[in-house]
Amino acid sequence: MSYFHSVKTKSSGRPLLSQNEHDIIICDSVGLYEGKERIESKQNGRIFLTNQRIIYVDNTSPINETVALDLNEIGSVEYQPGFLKRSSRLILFLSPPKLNPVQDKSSQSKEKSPNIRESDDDNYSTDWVCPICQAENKSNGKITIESTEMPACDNCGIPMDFTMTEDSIKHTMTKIVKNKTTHNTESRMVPCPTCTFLNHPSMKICEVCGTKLPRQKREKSSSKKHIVSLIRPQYIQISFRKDDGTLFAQATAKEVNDLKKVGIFNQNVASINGIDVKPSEEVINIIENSKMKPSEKKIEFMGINGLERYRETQLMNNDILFTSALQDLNKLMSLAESIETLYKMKDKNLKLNQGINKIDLNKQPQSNLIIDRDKFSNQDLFLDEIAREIYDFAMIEFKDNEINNNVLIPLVDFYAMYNKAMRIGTGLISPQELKDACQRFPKLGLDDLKLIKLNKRILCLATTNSFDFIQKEILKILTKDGGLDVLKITQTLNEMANDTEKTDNDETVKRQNAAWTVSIIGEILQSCIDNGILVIDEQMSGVYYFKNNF
Amino acid sequence: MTVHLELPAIYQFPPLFTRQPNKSIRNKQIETWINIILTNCEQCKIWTITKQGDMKIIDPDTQQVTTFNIFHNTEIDRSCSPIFINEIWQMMQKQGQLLNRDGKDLKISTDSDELQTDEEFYILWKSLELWANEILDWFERTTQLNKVVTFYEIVSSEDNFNESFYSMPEPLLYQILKILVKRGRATMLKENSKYVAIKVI
Repeated sequence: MSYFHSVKTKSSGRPLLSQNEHDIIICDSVGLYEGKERIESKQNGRIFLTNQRIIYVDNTSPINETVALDLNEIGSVEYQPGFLKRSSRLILFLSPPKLNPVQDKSSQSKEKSPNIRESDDDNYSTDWVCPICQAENKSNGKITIESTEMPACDNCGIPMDFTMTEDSIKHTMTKIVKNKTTHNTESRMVPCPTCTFLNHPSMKICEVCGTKLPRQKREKSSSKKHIVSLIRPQYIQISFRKDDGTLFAQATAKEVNDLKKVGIFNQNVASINGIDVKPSEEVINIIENSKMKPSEKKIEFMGINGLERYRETQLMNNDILFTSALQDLNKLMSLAESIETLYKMKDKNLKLNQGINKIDLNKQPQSNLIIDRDKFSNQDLFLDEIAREIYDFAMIEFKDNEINNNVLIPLVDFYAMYNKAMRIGTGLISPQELKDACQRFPKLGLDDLKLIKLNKRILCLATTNSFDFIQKEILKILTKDGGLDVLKITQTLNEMANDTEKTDNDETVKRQNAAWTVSIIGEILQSCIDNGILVIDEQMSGVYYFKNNF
Repeated sequence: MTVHLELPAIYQFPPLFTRQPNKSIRNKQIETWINIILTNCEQCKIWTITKQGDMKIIDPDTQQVTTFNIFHNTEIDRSCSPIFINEIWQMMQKQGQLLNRDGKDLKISTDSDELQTDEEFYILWKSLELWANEILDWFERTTQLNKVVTFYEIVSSEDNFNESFYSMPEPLLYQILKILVKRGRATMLKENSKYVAIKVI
């Protein structure tokens, strides 16, 4: 289970995302398997695919059972479609653990040994004297009586006769293997076709005369080869209970592959934090020009002279790079400065209204899940997710807004607020969808908010006991001094809210955002009258409310 | 101008003067009103009230007559709307606590224009039956049976000063005595085509 990380969830059962993280797809009613074993506590949940993780959120206990798996821990992905009663699954093979170094070496040496034996023959050279022209010859390989092909004399071209030259044959075994590097360098030395100077194999141009050297195929090092461990990698299965999960599987596979390809963070990114990573066209031109020139000169100037030129252009290149780097650094500095000033300004603002300070701290920018209509296979799922988002939004928005966390807002107002704040860019939702989503709160176990109908006509989003709470508050006010109108009641209520806030936080700054709207209070008063709790005194100057004394 | 009316504390409650939108509360409110009117009328021996709520209060010492509108509270500057007053009248009549001068049913229209100042009602803090019993009782107590007694004697004689029906308007008395006639206990005598006396058997 070490590959699972715990994740913080909001009260609405949505995971908190880290910075730069965004969600890609969400799938409902899935279960988790570790290897072939079911994980009993994680059999009914939703699964989120983000650009960094796969997050499982349990439906029954979202706070305790939520886990996440980093995408870069996944080696490969396999999708198995459902068969009869078996639901379709997505198998995530985890990356294999790092290999044991000892094992690595032994396998390497085993690999090496046959190579050495093979090359035994090559390490011999034979010296012999031609019996016809008496020229001394040198040929590769061991020459024995059994040898089928006899080398020809370099001088006269007549093949050697073993019996006649037997006496002159000297076997010299040049042991080269001992030091591998020297062997390589010596044997691979590249002779210059013009001046015959033996150049180092990594040279492209002759060191002396500057002639282009014939290309050498570089030996691929076999040592880097990984040995595929025979142990099957650990895997995790995600079982899709409701739908077939193909979309999710495809998205995961793509995301895992993308992550592997990228390798380096910030690669291929056009801009980081608003600064252009792509060099400006000028710089590109300079670099391109400077790159082109040496390649031309490579042919023009050969030898040590050419090398010097080459070096010069390289230095020039470095200069250009450095200047552009410095320019970037300057840009970065100026940006940093502007950020600093911004921060200072914010600091000032904070000092001005410290009351909001605490809320702001709580509202640290967090990447939010973006609920896109396209990510959901059906309307039902979409509404569920919207309901969760609405719940979150309402809870954050009104956390400190009303007296003792009581929320009561007409759905019409809330609709506008929500769409404005959350849905721009991701597709506005319709009033009907909002209403449907709000009606799902009890089903999703979000018990703090509910939809109530005030006076049988106005739909309001409210916390469970807010209505009773306000009624009590109003009654309290009116018992103390009756004969207040709506405006006065609202003012008193808000003052009370601010007062409690004051004592709570021990702050001198009066908070202005605790506000009940007159319209809401009016509706509550209306319902109080209907209940017979309040009576009215209607005058030319307005309607005054009293506690029922009849 | 002194008004010796003992009004309950609720009379100073501003919502009392506004017709309450909640029906059950309104019924209670009307009850409260009827209670106020009846207790006051009984205390001050007020027999009539105009349609607008004007009552004539006679100071027992100075015999000075002051008009007091029960539906207008000058202290808190509140008054009832005619529609609401009508509702109160209707309710009182239903409960037999209000009588039109000619004994006929009230014709209370919701149209406020038809309110006429001279229209007056009798307030019955006791029901007609109760009044009839009380008068019969008086006849028996004072051994006036089988005698002809004028209406004037009944309500204005100094001997009857302590009776509850003292100073009762004669037309109202006539309405009460009619019940006795109906019961077959009395006959009324006419003079100038108007009933003026009664003989209880």
